[in-house]
Amino acid sequence: MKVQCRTCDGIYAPTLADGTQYFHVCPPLRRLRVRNLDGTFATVAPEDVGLRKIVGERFVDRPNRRDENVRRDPVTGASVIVAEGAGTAPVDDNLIP
Amino acid sequence: MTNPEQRADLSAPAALAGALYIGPDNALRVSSLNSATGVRLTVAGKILTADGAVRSFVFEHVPNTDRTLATTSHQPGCGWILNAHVVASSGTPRRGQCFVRLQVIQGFTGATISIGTVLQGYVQDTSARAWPGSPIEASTRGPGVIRSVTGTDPAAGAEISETVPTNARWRLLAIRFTLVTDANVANRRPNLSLDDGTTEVARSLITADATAGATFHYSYQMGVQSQAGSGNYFNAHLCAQHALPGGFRIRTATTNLQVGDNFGAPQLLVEEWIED
Repeated sequence: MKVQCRTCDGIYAPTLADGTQYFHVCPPLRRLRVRNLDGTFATVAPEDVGLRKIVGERFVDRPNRRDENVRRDPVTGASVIVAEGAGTAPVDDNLIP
Repeated sequence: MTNPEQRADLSAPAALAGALYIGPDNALRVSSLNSATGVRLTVAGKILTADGAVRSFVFEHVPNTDRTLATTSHQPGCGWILNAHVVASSGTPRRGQCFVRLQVIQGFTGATISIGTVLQGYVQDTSARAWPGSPIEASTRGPGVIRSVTGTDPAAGAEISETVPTNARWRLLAIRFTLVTDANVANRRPNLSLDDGTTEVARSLITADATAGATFHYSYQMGVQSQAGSGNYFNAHLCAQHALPGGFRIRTATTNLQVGDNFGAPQLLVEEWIED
């Protein structure tokens, strides 16, 4: 069974073919560092660059990202995932190419 | 050489210079970090009690399957441990998947302190870790398990990004993925980037462009020259010497990626170890 991350819309199988667990983490967002016309700098999405000169590239965490890696809860001692994000939804395998 | 039964006829200090004494305040602690499914460990051995009897002890330990630490303690009775071994009695963990440590501890519950390591290393269903006999081995020493990992199929416009799981160490051997480009006219180059979760540490470059409205296949691997083949297949060189601890990322960094461009789920070939 596969699931879809409600934060990034990525689709994955929580259990891999070899039986091991898969720990999904949302991909970062690509951002570009640009020089504005007034000489200042800004970090913008690639589609917002316009005529500004690109001076660098950055990958930033997606807002409300999901990170299924485990950490130990300091209170209960139980294993919990790092960040829930917006959760997941099951995906019908028949609808996946 | 005397066997344990014969040793029982001897006075303990003379017979057991190398044995581990377990007193009433001591116990055996099993700690494991494991990624394989369905694994149960059997810990067994013999102990020479103060009255000269040789008794067997057997207990079970169930590791977690998410590489987090699982710990259990057992009191095998008072006396000198003559031998001990740990083997996977259920499941089929491969070397690199189930790391175990057997210690002698002071105390049983609450505040305990380790006073000796009996054995430490990977165990499988086909090979045990034994004391005496097995070396005390670090988890990243020797070969790891070879795994084929299917990653996340990202949404359109998103990059591929795979994170090394917590308490794992990966060595990336190969990665293959497809890119379906949208109708926007642009020359894309899905380069492969390795980062520490924030900062890029290495990048492998594709040397040919992916144009609009087609499907392209990429394979980063060792021992190939970066080149474009027929049918939109691209090879790119991958340096396999990079050891990537938990939290490092393997991701694409695509020049001119368009909003409708769509990567497929990547398939990674990795060598994996437990790394706490």
